[in-house]
Amino acid sequence: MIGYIVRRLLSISVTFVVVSILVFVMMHAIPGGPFDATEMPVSEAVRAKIMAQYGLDQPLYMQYLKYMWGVLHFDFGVPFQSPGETVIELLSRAWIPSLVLGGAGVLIGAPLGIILGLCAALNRNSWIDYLASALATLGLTIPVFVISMLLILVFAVWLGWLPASGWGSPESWILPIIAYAAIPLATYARYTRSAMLDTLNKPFVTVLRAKGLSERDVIFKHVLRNSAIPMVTVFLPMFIGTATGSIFVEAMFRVPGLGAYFVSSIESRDYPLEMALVLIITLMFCVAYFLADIAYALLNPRIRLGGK
Amino acid sequence: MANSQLTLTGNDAPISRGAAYYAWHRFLANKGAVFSGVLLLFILLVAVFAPFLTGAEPNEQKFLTNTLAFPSAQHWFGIDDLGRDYFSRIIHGARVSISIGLAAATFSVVIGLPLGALAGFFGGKVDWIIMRIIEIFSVVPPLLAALLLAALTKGGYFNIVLIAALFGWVQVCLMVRAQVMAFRSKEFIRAAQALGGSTWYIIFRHIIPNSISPVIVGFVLAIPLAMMLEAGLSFLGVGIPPPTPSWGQMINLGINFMFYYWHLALFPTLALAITVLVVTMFADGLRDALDPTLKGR
Amino acid sequence: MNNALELRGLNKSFYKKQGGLGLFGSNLVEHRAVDDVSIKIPERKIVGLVGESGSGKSTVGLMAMRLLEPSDGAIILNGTDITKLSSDELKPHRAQMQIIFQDSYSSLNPMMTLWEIVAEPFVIHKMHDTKTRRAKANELLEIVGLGGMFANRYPHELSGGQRQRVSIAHALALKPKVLIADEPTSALDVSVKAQVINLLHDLSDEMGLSILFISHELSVVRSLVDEIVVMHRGRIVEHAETEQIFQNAQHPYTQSLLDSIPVLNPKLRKRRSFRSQEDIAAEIPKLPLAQFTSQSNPKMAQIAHGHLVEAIPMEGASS
Repeated sequence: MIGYIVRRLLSISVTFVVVSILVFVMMHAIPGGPFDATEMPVSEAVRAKIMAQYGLDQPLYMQYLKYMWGVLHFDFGVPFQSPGETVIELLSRAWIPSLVLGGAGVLIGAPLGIILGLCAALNRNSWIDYLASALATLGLTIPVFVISMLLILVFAVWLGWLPASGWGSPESWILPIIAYAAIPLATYARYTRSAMLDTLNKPFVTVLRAKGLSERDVIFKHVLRNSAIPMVTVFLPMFIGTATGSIFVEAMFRVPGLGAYFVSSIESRDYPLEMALVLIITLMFCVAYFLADIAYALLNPRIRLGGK
Repeated sequence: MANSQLTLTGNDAPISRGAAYYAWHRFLANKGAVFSGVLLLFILLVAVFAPFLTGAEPNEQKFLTNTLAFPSAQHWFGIDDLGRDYFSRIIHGARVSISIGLAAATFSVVIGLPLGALAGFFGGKVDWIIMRIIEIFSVVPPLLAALLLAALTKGGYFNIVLIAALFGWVQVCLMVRAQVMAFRSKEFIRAAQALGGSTWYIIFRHIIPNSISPVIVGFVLAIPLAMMLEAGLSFLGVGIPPPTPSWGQMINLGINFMFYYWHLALFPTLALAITVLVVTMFADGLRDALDPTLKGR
Repeated sequence: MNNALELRGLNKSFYKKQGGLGLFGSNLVEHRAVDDVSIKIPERKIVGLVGESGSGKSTVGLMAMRLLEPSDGAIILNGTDITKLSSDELKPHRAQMQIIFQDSYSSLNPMMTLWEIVAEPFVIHKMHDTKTRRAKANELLEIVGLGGMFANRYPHELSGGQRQRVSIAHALALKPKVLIADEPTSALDVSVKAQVINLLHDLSDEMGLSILFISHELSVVRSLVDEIVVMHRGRIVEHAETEQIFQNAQHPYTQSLLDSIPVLNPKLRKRRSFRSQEDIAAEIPKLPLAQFTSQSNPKMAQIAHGHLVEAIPMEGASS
């Protein structure tokens, strides 16, 4: 088991380093920087000075090593768009709206999805089964910003019940939370349903019923526990995935969160902020997958106790 | 069926039916998939014949006196802020969206098929290397990376196709790999080896014909993903640059006008939602029909 | 008598990783799947290779076909050593020896019609034109009892027994001298089993085939084979003519296999004894050194003409 953890940790670390190199090289290899003549019409001497100030005059691998050394000390540099603060200071301000809205979305969507998936699996081919399948398909195929747009049109524009954008008042949080909740709800409705049906079709469930166990005990003591493994392992990656969704939700509802800053950093070619966001989110994904692997191994006795 | 010329001896000779026949019948039994297939065909026809269906070019600012007009008999979807017929822009947007989906799916197969076949057939080190590459793609959030790439390359039609393919090939590769792996250890491959069939003979005669289902499924599943990616990037302003009509771009425009001129937001949103939904449901139906074992990925 | 196929001291080791992180030189533990196996298959004879699953008997079959490289030993086909031949050099010899497998579902390509499957050997060996190939395939299907109307059908339309017949037609297309039958009947119903066995029996007579028939059921091979080789944990433990094995088995493992054959007449039923691995090891016969005379299997004692058994050599013991 320890061997397995160490092996996964090494493999995921190598992946992270490779990704960081790729992103770094990609961002610096493509011509056109924020201080190019077209972007910033200043004299050569001044430009050289600015380049030196940001370390852009050094060879690429030196820039990379220097950068990663800083990252190890939580120093992601200074964002070009607001030089008065560091990237970390800006992000520590920006992640709050994202976490509040995204967290609320997941915490509402995931349990609802589980309940929906359970009801669907236990009442196959009933109206609730069709509802669950329809919601799962809609939530997983239609892009978040399309869902957001439809929510705004219906509840803000036509019905006029809720504000369409902003961050000030709690009413303005409702629509973004619903938009955030769509993916967890759809994911969990589908996962729960298929995991439950898989388990219900296993011969051991027939054996339990044949032994005379009550249907309630069959479902809650045996089927649910065996279906839980995929449901637990999918949680963390999905939670981090909402970070990506935040780009659209925040652009749509004009929320000043991580996603909004990512978009503005891309528009203004703000290298330090872009790098920091990509690295932080990739790192979160790496950690999430690593933890999911460990959780899977811990929950699955075949792996926990077996040799592998 | 292809073998009708060889029905032999008597009336009780059974009619022989290949895999395609059964796949077709499984598909027909799936009502949702058939319905989306019909709808998809309709959308395709509209996209192909778009120039003949409207009185105005999508970029023609023909109705400047009527800007932001609501839907009417002459202008089914109204007129946008620059005096262009919105219906014309929406159905020309279908061309952009679908053609990007098809092109990106083609590139996804071009990259994913050989890599998946190599990984599945040879296993060992080749498989290890390809799986490590795929692991890199699995930890990078595709949308984030695509956004970055689109911004760096300044978007544009061809760049979007390449970016979508860059993140679309992984799924094709994994599906082909799984299928080839399952077939590589089948005994008919061993029997062919026992006869002295060369590796190339086995790949062309046995492996490729049996990998057609996952390739078709992978191709069709890659289409909606690419369409969503294009719409998302265009929505954020780094995809298809104006004036080329793109639904994502039009949704972004719609936000600015939605409180008064809601039609500018509603029609591209619906067009995108319906098309993506229909393609996905068609792809799912095709997957279930072609290979019931692929259902759980 | 000439031997159609001779396997000389075949060995196969698999290595399993154990301990360590799998990153920096972890320990490899050797597992001997096949340990010094020698079998001769005389021309026009059928030899049964019997043992429980995991005894290494299928591995022997795959190595004989050169589908798996032996770690050590030699394969002699019609007097030619084919152990080290390259795949190009091997190809003409391939026509001399063919194999049929246990799983009739995975041994036929689902995308090909039956005549395409049966004609495949001609395609690989670039023999005949398409028309002749088709006619020959129809002939072969006829021989295995799947007349004309089957030619254009697909494998999934057939029953297990019919599929196995197609496999046989496929294997016999090039008129091989040696056939390796790797448990061809274990997945079939009892009645179908008999049909396939009879078909193989008739074909071996007509075509002068020598067959290595691999099976885990002694009762199945009794009516078909001339000699039986019993394998246990990768080694040969007993080798004799068929009736000799049934009447006079010496090795405890062979005896336990014989005990496991169900007896239909209840009056003849004995209480079956269960033998553990330890029991078998303890009961291996101890025989005088003088009986270890076999050249091909020097570790085995010869207790009668052509009857070899794994034994522990004892100095000066009397038999």
